[in-house]
Amino acid sequence: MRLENTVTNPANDSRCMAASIGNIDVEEIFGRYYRPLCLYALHYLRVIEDAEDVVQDCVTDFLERAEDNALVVTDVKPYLFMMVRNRCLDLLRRESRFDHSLQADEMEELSDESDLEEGSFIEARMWTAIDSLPERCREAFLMSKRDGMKYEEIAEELGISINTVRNQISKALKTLKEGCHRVYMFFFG
Amino acid sequence: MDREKKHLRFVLKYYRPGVFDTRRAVRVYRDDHPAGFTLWRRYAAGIAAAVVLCVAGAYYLLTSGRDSMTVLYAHATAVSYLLPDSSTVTLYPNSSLSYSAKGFGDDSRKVDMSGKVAFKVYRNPEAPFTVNASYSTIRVLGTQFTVDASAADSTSVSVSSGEVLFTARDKSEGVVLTKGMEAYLLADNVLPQLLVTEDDADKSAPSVRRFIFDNTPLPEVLSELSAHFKVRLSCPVQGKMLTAEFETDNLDEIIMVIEKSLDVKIVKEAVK
Repeated sequence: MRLENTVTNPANDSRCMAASIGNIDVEEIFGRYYRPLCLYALHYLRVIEDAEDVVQDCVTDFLERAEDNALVVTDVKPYLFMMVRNRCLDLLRRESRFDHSLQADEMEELSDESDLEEGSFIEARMWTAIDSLPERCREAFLMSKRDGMKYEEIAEELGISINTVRNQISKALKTLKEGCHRVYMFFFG
Repeated sequence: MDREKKHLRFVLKYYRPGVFDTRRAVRVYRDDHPAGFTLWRRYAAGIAAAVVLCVAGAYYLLTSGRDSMTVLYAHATAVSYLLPDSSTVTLYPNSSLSYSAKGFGDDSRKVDMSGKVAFKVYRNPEAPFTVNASYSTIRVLGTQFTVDASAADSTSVSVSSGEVLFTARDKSEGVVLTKGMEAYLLADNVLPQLLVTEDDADKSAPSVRRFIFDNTPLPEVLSELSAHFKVRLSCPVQGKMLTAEFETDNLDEIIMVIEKSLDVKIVKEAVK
C-alpha cells in the first residue's frame, strides 16, 4: 500500500515544471548531486551497484530531457531526488525485495523523506572525507569505527605502533568533522 | 551529534573506496553523450527546421519561383495580352512586362515593365494596379493609359481614360493624371512633369469645369473646389501639395483621387 501511495512520476508533477532552468551544466549537476543521490538511493536499495545504476540512469534521463528542452524544472534538487526515489521504489517492487533486510530503525528512517534527503548530503560529505584520507589512515579508521577493532589489534594488523594508530584515527576524525561542517563544499569529486 | 553518528554509521556500513565516483559517472555520461552530440540534441529541432526551410526555399526558388513569375515579351511587332485580372496590356516592340502569377489580383496587382506598354486596367478598387518601370512607379486607380519607358533617361505616361498616379519609383508623391493628360519623368527627377498637348484646347467642353493644380497647396485646392461645388471641404493634414488636372463634374471622384494620391482624408460638409 505504501508503495502505491509514494510512487509518482516526477515528469507529470506540474510543480516541478514551471520555468526554464536555462543552461544545464553537466559537470555541475553531477558534482552537486551524484554522490548525495547515490547515498540516498543506497538507503532504499542497500546495494552499492544498484544505487550507482539507478542514479546514473536518473541523472542521464534528466540531462537528456533538459537538453532537449523537453523538461522545464524550477528546482533541480527535489526533482532529481524524487526521480531517484521513485526509481528505487520501482526497482524494489519489481524485485519484490522491499523489506526483507530492513531493520526497524532503517524503516523508520525511510519514512522521513526530507530528513533522508538532507542526510544524504551529510553522508556524501562524510563519504568524500573518508575517500580523501591517506590509505593507511583510512584503513585504520575503518578498522576502528566500522569493524570495532581495538587500537592494539589495528596496530598489530597494520604493523604500526599504537600511537600511530591513535594519531591516524584522530586525524581521520578531524578530517571527517571538517568535511561534514564545510558548508561551502558543494562538490563531491 | 546523535544524528551525525547515525549518518556516520550508515556511511561506514557501506563505505568502499572508489565507488560513487563522480568523475567516473560524468565520464560514463560523456561517453554516451559526446559534447557535439549534446549540442546537436539541443539544437536538433532548430537545425532540422532550418534545413527544411532551406530546402523549401531552394525548391521554391528553383521551381515555383520561376514558374510564378510570368514574363511577357514583344519583339518585332506589338502584342496584346490579357492579364489574369482581365486587364489588357499592349506591348510595343522590344518591350517586356512581368508579374508574379501567384496572388496577382488578390489584394494587389504589381507588374514590372520595360519598353513601352499600353494598359487597359480592369477596375478593381480592392487590388491597386501598380506599374514599376526602371525608375518610376505608376499607381492606377482604374484606367487606360500608356507608359513609355523605352527612352533611357525618361518615362512618359499618357492617360486615355480614368486617373493614374504617376510617381518616381519608391516615392509617394507624384502627379495625378486623368483623361487626355500626359506626363514625363526624367531619370533623376523626383516629380514628373506635366506635358501640355496640342489638343488640350479642344477638350475643354463648356459645361465641364477644368481644374488644373500645379504644385498647389492642398488648402488652396480645397477652397477652389469648395467654391465651385458649393460645399465646404477640409483636410486635417497640413503641408500637402497637389499636382493634378481634373476635368469632371463629379466632386466625389475628384475627392477620391486627391485622397488616394496624397494619402489624406478629406471631409465634405454641406454649406448652410
